Amino acid sequence: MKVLSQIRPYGLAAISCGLALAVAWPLDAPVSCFFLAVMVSGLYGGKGPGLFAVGLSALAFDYFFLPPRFQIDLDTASFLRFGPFFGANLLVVGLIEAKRRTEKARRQIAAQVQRSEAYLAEAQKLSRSGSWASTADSMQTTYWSAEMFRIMGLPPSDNSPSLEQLAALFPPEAWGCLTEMFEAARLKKTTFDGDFPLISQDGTDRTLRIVGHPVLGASGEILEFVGTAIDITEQRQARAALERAFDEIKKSEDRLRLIIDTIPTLAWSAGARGLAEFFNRRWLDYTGLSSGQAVDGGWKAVIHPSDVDRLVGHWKSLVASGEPGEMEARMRRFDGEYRWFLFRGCPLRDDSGRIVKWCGINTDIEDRRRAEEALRERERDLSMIIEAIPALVWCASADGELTYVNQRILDYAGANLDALARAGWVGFLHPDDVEPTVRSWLHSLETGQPHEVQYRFRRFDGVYRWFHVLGQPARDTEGHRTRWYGLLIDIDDRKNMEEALRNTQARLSRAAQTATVGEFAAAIAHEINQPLAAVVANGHACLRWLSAQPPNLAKAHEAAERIVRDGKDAGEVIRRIRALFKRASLEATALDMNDIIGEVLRLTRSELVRRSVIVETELEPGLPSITGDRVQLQQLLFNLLVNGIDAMDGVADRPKKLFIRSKQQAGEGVLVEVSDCGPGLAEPDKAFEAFFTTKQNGLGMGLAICRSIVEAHRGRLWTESANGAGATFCFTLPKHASTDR
Amino acid sequence: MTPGNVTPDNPIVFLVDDDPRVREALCSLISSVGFRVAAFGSAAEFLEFEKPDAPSCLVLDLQLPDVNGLELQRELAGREAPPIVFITGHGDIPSSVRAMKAGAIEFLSKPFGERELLQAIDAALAVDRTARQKRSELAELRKSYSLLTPREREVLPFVVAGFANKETAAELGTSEITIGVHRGQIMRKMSARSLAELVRMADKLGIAPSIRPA
Repeated sequence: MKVLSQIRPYGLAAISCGLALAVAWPLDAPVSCFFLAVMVSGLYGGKGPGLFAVGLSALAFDYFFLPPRFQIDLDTASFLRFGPFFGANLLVVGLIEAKRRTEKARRQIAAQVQRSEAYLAEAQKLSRSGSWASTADSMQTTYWSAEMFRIMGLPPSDNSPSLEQLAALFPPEAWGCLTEMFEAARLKKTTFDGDFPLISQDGTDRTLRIVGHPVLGASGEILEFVGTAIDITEQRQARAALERAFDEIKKSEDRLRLIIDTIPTLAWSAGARGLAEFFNRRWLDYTGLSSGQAVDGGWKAVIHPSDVDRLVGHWKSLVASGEPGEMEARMRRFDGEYRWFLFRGCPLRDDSGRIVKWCGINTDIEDRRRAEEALRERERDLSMIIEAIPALVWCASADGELTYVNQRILDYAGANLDALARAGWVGFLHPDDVEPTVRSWLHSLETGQPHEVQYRFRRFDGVYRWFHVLGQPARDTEGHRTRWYGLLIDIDDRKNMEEALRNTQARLSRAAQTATVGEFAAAIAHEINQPLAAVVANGHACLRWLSAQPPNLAKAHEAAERIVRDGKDAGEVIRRIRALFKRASLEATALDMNDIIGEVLRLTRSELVRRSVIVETELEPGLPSITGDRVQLQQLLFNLLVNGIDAMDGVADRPKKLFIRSKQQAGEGVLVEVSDCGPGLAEPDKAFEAFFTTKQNGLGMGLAICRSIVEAHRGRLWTESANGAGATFCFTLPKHASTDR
Repeated sequence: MTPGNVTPDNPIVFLVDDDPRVREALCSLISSVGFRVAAFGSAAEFLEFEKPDAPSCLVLDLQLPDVNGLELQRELAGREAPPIVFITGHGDIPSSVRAMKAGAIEFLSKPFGERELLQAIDAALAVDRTARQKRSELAELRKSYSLLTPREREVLPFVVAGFANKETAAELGTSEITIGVHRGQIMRKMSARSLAELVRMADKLGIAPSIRPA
């Protein structure tokens, strides 16, 4: 094809020459026809086909038209025609070729310009920048690049917008500013450059950077202004975002600093080589140093002189090893007081594991140290107490294995802990006590109930002594038993005393009987004093009546009679008291219980009045006789009465009433009940025990004596108590053997 | 200590004891000296008895069937009651201390001698006479005081405080002459012979003298 397209102009040249020959022959005007053919070939095909047509035309002209015709040879005359013809044709081809070359170069330039413009437009589009040109003396633009329209939000157009259209794109103040800058640039012939907001078209705030500079002519006058407009909205936004980010970083740094200064601990940091770099506010406040002083090695000055070498040495070793560590040392407060601190340092490493910094805190542990000290002190105290108390203390694990005994146990047993541990202690018990002790202990271990037992424990010299043993489990917060704590109390002396006490109780009870009689006597003193007082007064009266002037014999006589009567009364009282004091051996005679009750009531009458006690009786007539000792039975009743009276001492809301009943008891003889309306008995079982008393001044013997009297008479004594509603004491006595009613 | 010693004001001895034997014997003894005796078996009987207007005293047994002697003493306190001589057959120290602290004349344990009893009765009667005397004097004063007009009662505190009539007049906002008249009336109605006597009377009546302004 390429060949064809190259050949084609030549073909066309040949054809046009042929045509020229055919037209010229009949017309005989060869010059102009061949001239035309050469021109056509040159214009169409260029230099090559043009010269080819020149050749062909020259041959055809020579052959057909110049004489000699139909010969190639030329004569001189013909040559004069032929020469200009050939030259003119060559000139035409040359001219046409020159014209073609110029045209070609022009086309190439135009294409290049077009390409450059396309590149520029693309660049402007990408950079969102447009270019413009304006007249020299006003903002009236003469040229807008395509991108300008896009940036300004206007539809593309060939014509740049008018001044009014332009002004409408900016907010008034921005436009004012722009025109002002333009004016200044125009006057000073300088470049202007400014950022201007655009009126928002689609709701987004946009900003343009507009740059313009004057183009000066040869004489220095302004020809025009050319410039660019760049949409810097995104750039601005990016910058704002960046600024915000910086701000944020700054703020968070401030916050961090604030936190570091506020955290309730002393914090610091040091460089990778261990040199102090930073101390937080609290650190500085505590020590009273300035930041500069502290960093300058001042921190060493606030460490206690006794601790500083140790601390610095430790710190150096930490820095050398690169390991975190801690240490306790005293640090001086601003007011000169040293407090204990825990110094902790930790290396900060970068991604590659290199230490870039050391951070640390100093924690105030003064209170903890003090508490620890106090605890140690207490522990020492406690252990001294445990070793010093005159008791044997032991401790066992939850499963019962002996883990500790105090020195006293070791001294007592003459053995060491090994000998006692692993149930070795059982070997020290009295053989008779082993079985109950072990049973109790195992029971306690199983149930967790306190262990309490008494056993005989062998002393180093082989003597067994009685011990009261107590064990108490200690529990953790969840209630599991963790340990057993126990105590051995030497009760050997007490045990012996109890034994001795039992032996002497009988004797004591007899002694106390006398003491009670003393009390009895005091109570009946009134009974004696009353008639005695009457006797004395009557005696005086009698004397006075006799010595009166004249003597009043009748009155004296009456007085004397009363002396006799009251004297007898007194004698009777004394006789009864003597009967009480007569300490005959148990004299078993047949007695009427009602008589004895009546007698005792008579003797206690004034005591009852004095204590505001009302006595009610319900005595069954015709009771069978009982066998007994009158004095002892009187005492029995007397004690029960006094007991009842005493029991009602605190009664204020109801009459103090004492109720006495006697009745026959089938098979048993006689039953006597003495009821009071006091508060009743809290511990009825204990009432008859010797020395048990609820009274402030009581000996605690009264009821114990009653029991021994009743038992000596082969009777029974018991209590019936409804709590809060008084107590009733009952006794029965067997009837006299010979009476059988 | 004979019937001849008995003063003409005819004093009376009250006796409270629940034991008839003691009651009889003491009645006989006391009346043998010439005193009137009124004997009672209980506190209630004694309280019901219409007492004659004469110096009197009370011989009281500590233990009584109805009211304890100490309780009766407490009840009588501040009632213009006769002074008390306690007698008891079974005295204890706390009771005697309480009785004496509450103003008893004597605390006698039975049996006691006649001398002790009669001396105690004499002492008690003397106390009662003084008390009666004071009471009647005070009654007399109150009667005189009741005769004063309200204005005279106003003036009285100034007079007894030693204010001159002029000062009193200034204080009460009246004339010196008027005060002089009031003063004369007060002296007359109160039967006071001197200012000193009037001051003593005001003191007995419990009238506080006016305080002289500083």
